[in-house]
Amino acid sequence: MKKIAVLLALALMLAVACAAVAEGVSIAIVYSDTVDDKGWCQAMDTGIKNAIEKGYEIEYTPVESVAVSDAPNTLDQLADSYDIIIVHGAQFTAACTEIAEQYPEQIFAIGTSDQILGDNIFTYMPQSEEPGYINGVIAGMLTKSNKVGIVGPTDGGDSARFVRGFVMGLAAVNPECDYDLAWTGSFSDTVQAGTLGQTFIEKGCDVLVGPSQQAVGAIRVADAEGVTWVGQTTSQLVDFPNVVCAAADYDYSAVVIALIEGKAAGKMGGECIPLNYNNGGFIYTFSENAELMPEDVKAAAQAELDKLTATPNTIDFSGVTLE
Amino acid sequence: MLDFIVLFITVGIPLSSALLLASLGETVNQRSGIFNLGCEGVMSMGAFVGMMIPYMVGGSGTVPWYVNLAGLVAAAIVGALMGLLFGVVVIKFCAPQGIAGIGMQLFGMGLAGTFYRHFIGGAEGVAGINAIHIPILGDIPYLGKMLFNCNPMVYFSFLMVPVVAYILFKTPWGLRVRACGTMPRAADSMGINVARTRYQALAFGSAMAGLAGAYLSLCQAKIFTDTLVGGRGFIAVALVYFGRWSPLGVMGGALLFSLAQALQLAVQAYGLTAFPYEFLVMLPYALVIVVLIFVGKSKHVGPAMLGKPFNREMRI
Repeated sequence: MKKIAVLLALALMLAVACAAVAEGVSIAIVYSDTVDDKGWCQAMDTGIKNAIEKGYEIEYTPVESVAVSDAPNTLDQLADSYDIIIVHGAQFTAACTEIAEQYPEQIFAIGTSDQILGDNIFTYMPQSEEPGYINGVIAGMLTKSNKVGIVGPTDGGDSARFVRGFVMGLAAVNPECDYDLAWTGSFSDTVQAGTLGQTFIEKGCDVLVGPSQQAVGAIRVADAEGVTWVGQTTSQLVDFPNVVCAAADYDYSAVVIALIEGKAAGKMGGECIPLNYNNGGFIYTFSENAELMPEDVKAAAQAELDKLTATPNTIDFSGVTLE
Repeated sequence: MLDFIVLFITVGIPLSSALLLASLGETVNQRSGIFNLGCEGVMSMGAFVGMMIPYMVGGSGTVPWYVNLAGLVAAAIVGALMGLLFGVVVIKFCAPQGIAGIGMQLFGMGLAGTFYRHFIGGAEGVAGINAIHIPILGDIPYLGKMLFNCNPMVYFSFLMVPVVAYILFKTPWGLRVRACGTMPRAADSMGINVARTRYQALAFGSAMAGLAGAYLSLCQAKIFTDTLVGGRGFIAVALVYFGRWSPLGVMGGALLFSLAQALQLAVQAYGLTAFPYEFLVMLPYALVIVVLIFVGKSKHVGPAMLGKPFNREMRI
């Protein structure tokens, strides 16, 4: 009797939970790090919260700090319990593809990737060459020494696109400008990024840029030396107002909304969702400090932004060879 | 070319300080027979505590020097306490040191990250401790820039090399530490309290690891992140083997590794390489492995009872 009562209670709890979820869309997101990592994971966490603010009813469950080796097990446990499972990190691709095959009725999404991975898998890819290009335009116009430093994490994924877009933007406005580029081989080594920033400043670079969460180490050095930084997340504008002249932010709500609307239209996957200015996937913010961001530079960057917002896929970075 | 050399040495020397402090401390506890793989976790806690005190007092703004000093002292104390905790596990309960060390590493990193989120959060940093210019010496061309415009903690870390060497080889306590690592039973029969000496060595070694973490958060990055230590704790443990348990050898290892790391960044920054950048990133680690192969044949052997628990009731 006791057992039956317990089972009934459990069934009731499950029914209540399902009823609560049924009103909106339930989304679980698998993260490689914590949602306050000041970079990659935080951007997605903010994106889903932005989607909720835009009026989408979402039951959101973050699953943080998942190791690659634990991903198959984690996805297996999540499958069938959520409407959409977002796997935020290309390192989880194999696990996602494997588990998605076992749950053909479950919608998965994985990024960043522009591949078509399966009928029930969406991929998403930030077209980071776009903010990179705008940053390049700004850096090219701001530099006085004609030497700009790029603090690179690894030459892959969207950081590779960002850097190539940056180089294109730089060349478009200031062909005389030289750039120094080095990769730390890590996305999170703030100490090495700081050392690299110091190296560039010692070399005479007067404008620095760098994607990924490790950049904070280099911005601290730039801040101490008074060297301009063209940022990648708007929090950098707030944290380092004396040196960060502008910043591009990812808004993953574009991906989340595309997934929800795709589901409503009966789409299960099989396509890549881009993240660009045209679909609101990026937001660009300028510093209000006129000394850091002169009006003419701001106007030139805004003009490029308007062009990208009107017409996506115009930055062809495939031919860019890095020095 | 001269500018290139000056540049990579200028940025390479400060990189070595965290490794040097942590590996000097690890040298002492390894000399007593305990290797602490949890060094990484202790450094994480040191990094968090070292930064938290100045942050609590002055936020991201500048604070008086003694507040930063308090941060360093607190980091050393927290490090020492973690060392004692590790000691309880491996000395009192004779747990396998390797496994317990990994546990300590995970514990330290997890605790530091959790506390950071609870007490600070966001991307908050501190003004920290800046490099100082030493008058006259700092103005010497090239040499001044490389050696006399450094962070005070860089000088402190190098000063600790002769200090630790003196403690280990010239004091009765150092002799007791070495005896406990080499022949604890003989030390015990001579009236040395092996467990107490090992606790003391662990506390000292871990205090140094805490300081090394605080150096990263207060002097280098001036911010805390979960991954700030970035494997340097493990490198520090490897450098003790590299330096054959000698403070001078450990200093050589820390300098070699850090200069190699600075060199690979400078080579990339100057566009001097025809190799893929991945090769350069790997270079410092590969260099350590190659040198370890050669120093493995050195006549200087490690503490005979390193990693082995001591139980005075057992007769073996």
